[in-house]
Amino acid sequence: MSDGTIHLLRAGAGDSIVEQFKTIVESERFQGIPIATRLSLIITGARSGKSQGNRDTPIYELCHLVNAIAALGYTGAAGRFEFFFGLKRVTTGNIQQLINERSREYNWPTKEHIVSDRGIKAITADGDFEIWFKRMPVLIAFFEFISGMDDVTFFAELNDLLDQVTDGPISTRNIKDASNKISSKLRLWRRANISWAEHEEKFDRITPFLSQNSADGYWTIDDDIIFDFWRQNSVLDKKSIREYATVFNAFVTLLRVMRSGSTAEAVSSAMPLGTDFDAGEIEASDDMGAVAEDWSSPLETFDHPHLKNIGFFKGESERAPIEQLMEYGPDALGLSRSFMRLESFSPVQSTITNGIRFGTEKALLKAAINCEKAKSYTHISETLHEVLEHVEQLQLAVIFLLRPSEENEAFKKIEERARKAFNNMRRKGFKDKELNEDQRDAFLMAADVLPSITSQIRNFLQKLREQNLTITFDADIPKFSEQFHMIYGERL
Amino acid sequence: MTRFKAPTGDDLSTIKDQFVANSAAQYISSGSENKINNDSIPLSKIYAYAKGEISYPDPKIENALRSSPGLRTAYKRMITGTANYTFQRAIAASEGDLPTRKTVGAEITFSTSSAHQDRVYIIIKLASVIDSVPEALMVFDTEDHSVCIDLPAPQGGIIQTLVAKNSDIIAALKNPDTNVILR
Repeated sequence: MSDGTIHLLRAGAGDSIVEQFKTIVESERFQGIPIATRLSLIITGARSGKSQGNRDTPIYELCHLVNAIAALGYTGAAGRFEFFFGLKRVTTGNIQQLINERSREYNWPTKEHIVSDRGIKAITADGDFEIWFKRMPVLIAFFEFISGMDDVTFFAELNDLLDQVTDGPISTRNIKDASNKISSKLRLWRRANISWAEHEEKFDRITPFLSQNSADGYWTIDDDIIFDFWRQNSVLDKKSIREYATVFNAFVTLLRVMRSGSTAEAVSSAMPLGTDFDAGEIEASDDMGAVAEDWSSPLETFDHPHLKNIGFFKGESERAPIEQLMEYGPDALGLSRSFMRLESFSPVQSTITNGIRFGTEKALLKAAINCEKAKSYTHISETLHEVLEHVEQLQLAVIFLLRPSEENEAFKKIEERARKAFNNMRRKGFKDKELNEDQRDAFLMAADVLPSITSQIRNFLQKLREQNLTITFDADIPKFSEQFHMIYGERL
Repeated sequence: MTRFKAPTGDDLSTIKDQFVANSAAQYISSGSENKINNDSIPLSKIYAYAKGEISYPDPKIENALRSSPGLRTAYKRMITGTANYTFQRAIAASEGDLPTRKTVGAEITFSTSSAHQDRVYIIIKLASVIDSVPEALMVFDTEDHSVCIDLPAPQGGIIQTLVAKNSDIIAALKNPDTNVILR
């Protein structure tokens, strides 16, 4: 936890949840598959994407999936374990391939199920229900999580309930009954294991502040509001929220929640970011706002074991400078100055708190409080330009490696640039012009997310062009320095 | 700048619920990034162990099974799901003897080795070896603690293996209340 004043989970329970979560998302079969954010939202019952409006929708989806895979021969508990625990790499592609093979073997379509390019459709008397392939990795992770709940004591009951889902012909009633019982258990688990009070505290602090600063019945969230909130709340005698990063994050969370009612899209409908040359999907759309609610850092993909061995990014100079920008995604664009403050002054605040904790000499602490080593906004912008240039070259080199075997108009237009980028890319993994199947899969994964990285950096830099970075940075130094003096000055 | 009509009443309450859930989700997610030491074992790995894809005994998994009754029950259920033969409790034999076990298509008997007095043969008769051949014998006690041995290939429908009389597997098999599973 970054802020000592905010303890988010009940003592004793929090660590075990985090441990269980980490065990799943970091297990080999999920490495590099961006499920962490979605899984955590499902666990806490946040309504996002497809589950908009009902926090129990993922359970309903899971029960439908259990029913569908049973119809593909994954019958009983043994079949269920094989499907949910047995997959060595839980990628959308692997699941799709498996289901396609089984659907042919089991002569789908049937009266109850259809498989399409997008996923599985269950046909019931109460209407159709579709589970998209893209959704399945997180549902598999979710199954693993609830199986392990309460020190695995729910495992037996869960599987008894799921047995009912596959008992006889597809029945919405059976699926709903099982879903309701699992939801009820999950609700009790959430109450017992997550300390909502600490999160409520933040909300109860922010919303009155927004109302007080509203003259016309509208809440305004902008750079000034965020800074003013931090300035007031970081120096309270009781329960202060000292860290600027915590405040920025809380406002972004509120923004996402406020927006989610109107703009969220189904998780499964996340925009394809072009790798399909035939469909002319070489460049992704720059309009990433459309997927803001479902945003998860595209950098997660590069943690995949097959991609780790390819020199896409140098950690310190190419990945670290864009880590937070990718984490906050489109939300960083709307709060560009706040985000620059985060990038520049949050590391300074970490230096101060660590310095106090470990007894750094006062002269160094004073220099930190004076923000003497804060990265300037111009420097941050220049670094982003350099990374953008690298990612653009990377994208072209990957396009060259995945070049279509037949003549393609879209590729023709960029062929020379792509070839040149590849030839100049003297990095591990960019040696062979011809790829084997595994290498091709790895580069396809990269091709899926590189356009969104490029768009995100490009759009953010565009936002920065609207500001005079030297002036804003010079104006922010005394503001932060003064506040750090108020928070930590007595330690000098 | 983003502007929203200030929510009130039920809307505010819904937004609060969502804010809190999202905030908690972020904690779980970011907390997991910061947590360096993690000795937990994913259930998918327990499943691989149950299927024999991880060789027995794996000290880390065995330690986890010893300390968690829930995990043991789950493990047994996974084993049962992949088992070829499951034997329920045996009829008690006389004191110190090893009770014969029977199930549909298989029988387990024992015979003391005449060459090695401290050893005993476990003899498994299979009615058919056309279906999948068991590769391991597992014994679960009433608290789902388990012992496992690898089995050699059957010869003419019979699997025979020699084990020490004082081994864990024999101690477990002496107890008629244990379940035996051939996987």
